[in-house]
Amino acid sequence: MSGRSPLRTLLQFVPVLYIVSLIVFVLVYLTGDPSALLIPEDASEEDRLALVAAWGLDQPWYLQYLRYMGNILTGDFGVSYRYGTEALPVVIERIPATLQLTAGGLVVAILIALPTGIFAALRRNSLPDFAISAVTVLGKAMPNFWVGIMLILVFGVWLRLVPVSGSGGFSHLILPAVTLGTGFAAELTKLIRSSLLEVMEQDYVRTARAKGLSEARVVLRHGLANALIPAVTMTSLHAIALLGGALVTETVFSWPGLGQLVVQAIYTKDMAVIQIAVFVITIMALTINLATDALYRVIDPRLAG
Amino acid sequence: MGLFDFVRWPALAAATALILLAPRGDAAAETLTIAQGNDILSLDPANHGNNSTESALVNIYDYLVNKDFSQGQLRFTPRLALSWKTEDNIHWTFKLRDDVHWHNGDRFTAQDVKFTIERSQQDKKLVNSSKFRRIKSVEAPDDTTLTVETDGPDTLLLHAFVGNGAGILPKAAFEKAGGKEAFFKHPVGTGPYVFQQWIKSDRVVLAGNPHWWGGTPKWDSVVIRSIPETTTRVAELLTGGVDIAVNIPPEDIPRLNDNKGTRAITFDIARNLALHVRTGKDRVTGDPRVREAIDLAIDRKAIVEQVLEGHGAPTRGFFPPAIPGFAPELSRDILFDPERAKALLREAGYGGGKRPAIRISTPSGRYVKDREIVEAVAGYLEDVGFQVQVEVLDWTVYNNKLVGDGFGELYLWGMGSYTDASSLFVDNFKRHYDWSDEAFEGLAAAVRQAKSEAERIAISQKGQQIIAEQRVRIGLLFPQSIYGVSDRVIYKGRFDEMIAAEDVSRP
Repeated sequence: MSGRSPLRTLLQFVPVLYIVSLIVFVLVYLTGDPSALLIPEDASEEDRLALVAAWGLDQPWYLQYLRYMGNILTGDFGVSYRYGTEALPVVIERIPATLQLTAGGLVVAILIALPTGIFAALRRNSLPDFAISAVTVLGKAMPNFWVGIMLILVFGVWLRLVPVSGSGGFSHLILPAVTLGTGFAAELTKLIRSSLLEVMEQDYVRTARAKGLSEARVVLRHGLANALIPAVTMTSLHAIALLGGALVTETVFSWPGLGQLVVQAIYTKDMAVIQIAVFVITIMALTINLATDALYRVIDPRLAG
Repeated sequence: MGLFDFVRWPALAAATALILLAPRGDAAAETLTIAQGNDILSLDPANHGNNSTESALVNIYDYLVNKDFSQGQLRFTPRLALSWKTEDNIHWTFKLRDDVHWHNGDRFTAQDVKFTIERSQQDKKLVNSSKFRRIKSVEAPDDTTLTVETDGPDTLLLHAFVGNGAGILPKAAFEKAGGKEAFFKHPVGTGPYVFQQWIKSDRVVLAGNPHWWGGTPKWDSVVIRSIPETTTRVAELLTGGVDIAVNIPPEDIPRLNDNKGTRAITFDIARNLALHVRTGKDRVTGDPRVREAIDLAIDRKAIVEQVLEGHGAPTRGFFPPAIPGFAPELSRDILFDPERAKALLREAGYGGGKRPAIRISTPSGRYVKDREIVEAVAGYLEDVGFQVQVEVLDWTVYNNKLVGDGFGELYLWGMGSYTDASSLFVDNFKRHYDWSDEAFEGLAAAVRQAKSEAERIAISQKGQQIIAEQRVRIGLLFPQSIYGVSDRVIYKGRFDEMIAAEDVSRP
């Protein structure tokens, strides 16, 4: 993507967004209308059909689609069936919590993985290296759901150090961020270890050592800088996945992010919310791609050319 | 500092810092915190069909009347209406309180009630638009008098003034806001608590209304949290993060009772679980003998004891005792007779390797122990010679199948939040069950014209008898609700599963 202007990249996303919206529309349409899920339990069949007609969901799919696209072009993103209000704010107001949780998870992962990965590479095949290997396998194998519940039981219920769930202050972010971070930390540790080992075998590292540079300088300046590219790629891919919602973690900690919203919207066939969420997530993914490109150039000036 | 020191400690240091930075939360003594299993859907009483939503809204808005189940029987008691009368169940006059103010200071009048009814009727996109379907006209001759005319004798009119869609809204404030989007950003009610904040999927925050017509509210603030994960809900209760936690699974009861400072409460609710039966001629359940065999093969008592750990009541009926029109004989002398069931199947031409195949569908996690109950039923049916396929479905798919009539022979349905046994007649039995019965259709027509409460109840009971006799629905049990409650509060639980903060008090 390097060499292209961000604006051009953004423009190229318009057809992608259009196709995605069409696919989402068709899929949601095919699964039926949301009336049965939303009316009161004691409502009659007639009540339900009246609601379907009022919402215009009894019209043929192409009419519904034309109306939907027409509204979007005039800036009207439609109404959430589930919440009964404009859908756009319903999605937008979830973004801060999602960004917080994503950032928190990544920070935890990087804080754990970077030092551990370097340490394991430098002490290759030592007892600590094997121990770290074992822990990373364990870290990757533990499901988020289980980690979250265990953290709640230990730090929330037993030690009472942090709030059990919900959003609010920084303290609320700790357990979900750690839950989200540990699995990824395990992956990232292994990657940093292996790519650093590979780099440290290269000629320029040997040259740097021969010049008499300190080991710390060799590792950080010559080794790590080059080993980071795959780690950055992996982190950005992971960030994109997390922006789509960390459903399990959000549910365990009742964190008000996009994941819970999107899944609930799919359950209730809340067309407008699903569409907007897909738009928002796509745009955020694009932004991360652009940011990753920029970061590559900072790490490796050769890519800037 | 050497490189190894540099890389060794950050992880540990970060973890320590995170823990040290975390403030210890102590909930203020005057705040009541309630944990529900899901978020509210709307602040608009007329635009949701969801019990947990209504449970939050009852604190903000008032109904015209209250439903009181505390005596084990439904009684209507005054709320915004002090009294009501009708001669013919068509023309109704309500006398309203004159000492009620909206949260914004305006005075509450009969105009507000008229507005609430007409708004629901006119805005067809509202989920509860049909709530007042039988009201033909409504007038407010003076500030404290409301007259209502129904489209015929309606012995159920008072029900329309309670529950989902019945919260009274302020005419002036609503019109001044210029639309529902704007009004429900900062909604105004007459209830004991004033809306403060709603963080979706997280919490609703309310503050005590110092000018409430009912006196000083019991709590300075009320926080209603959405905690979908049961383990987390229980953990919050155990640590004092919440005072009341809904929907506790039976197996967690000892844990809450053993823990110092918490306990579990159980109480009857307006819900039943039944097997709905497709009786088309193309199915094995088209044969009444096969349906009777299903009814006789199930040991309901054992299911209640084993699966619900005793927190429910076995029944063949469809409406629990507190609901008007309850049919007591359907909960008495429930037969469990596998031998007779086997004999019926033989009479119907099965046996000797020829087994009737049935599919039985259930959601998972929608009703308490739904899947486990159906698995137990399947076991009993196999015991008497059925070949059973259990189909566990996601709730969304389940509803699609219901609307599109895509189920097999049997499916589990947990009817709830109903008001009256006459709601039995609302279902389209021909379409959904492939079943029709002349006597039953006669009753369905008659119940709409019932001139008195007693007549309506008699018709409803007769209808339930026919449905149970013909096994169009096979009642299983009335489940109880289980909440976790902190010892910091006194709470008993309510039949309609609404948690009004004013029903909760300090010890």
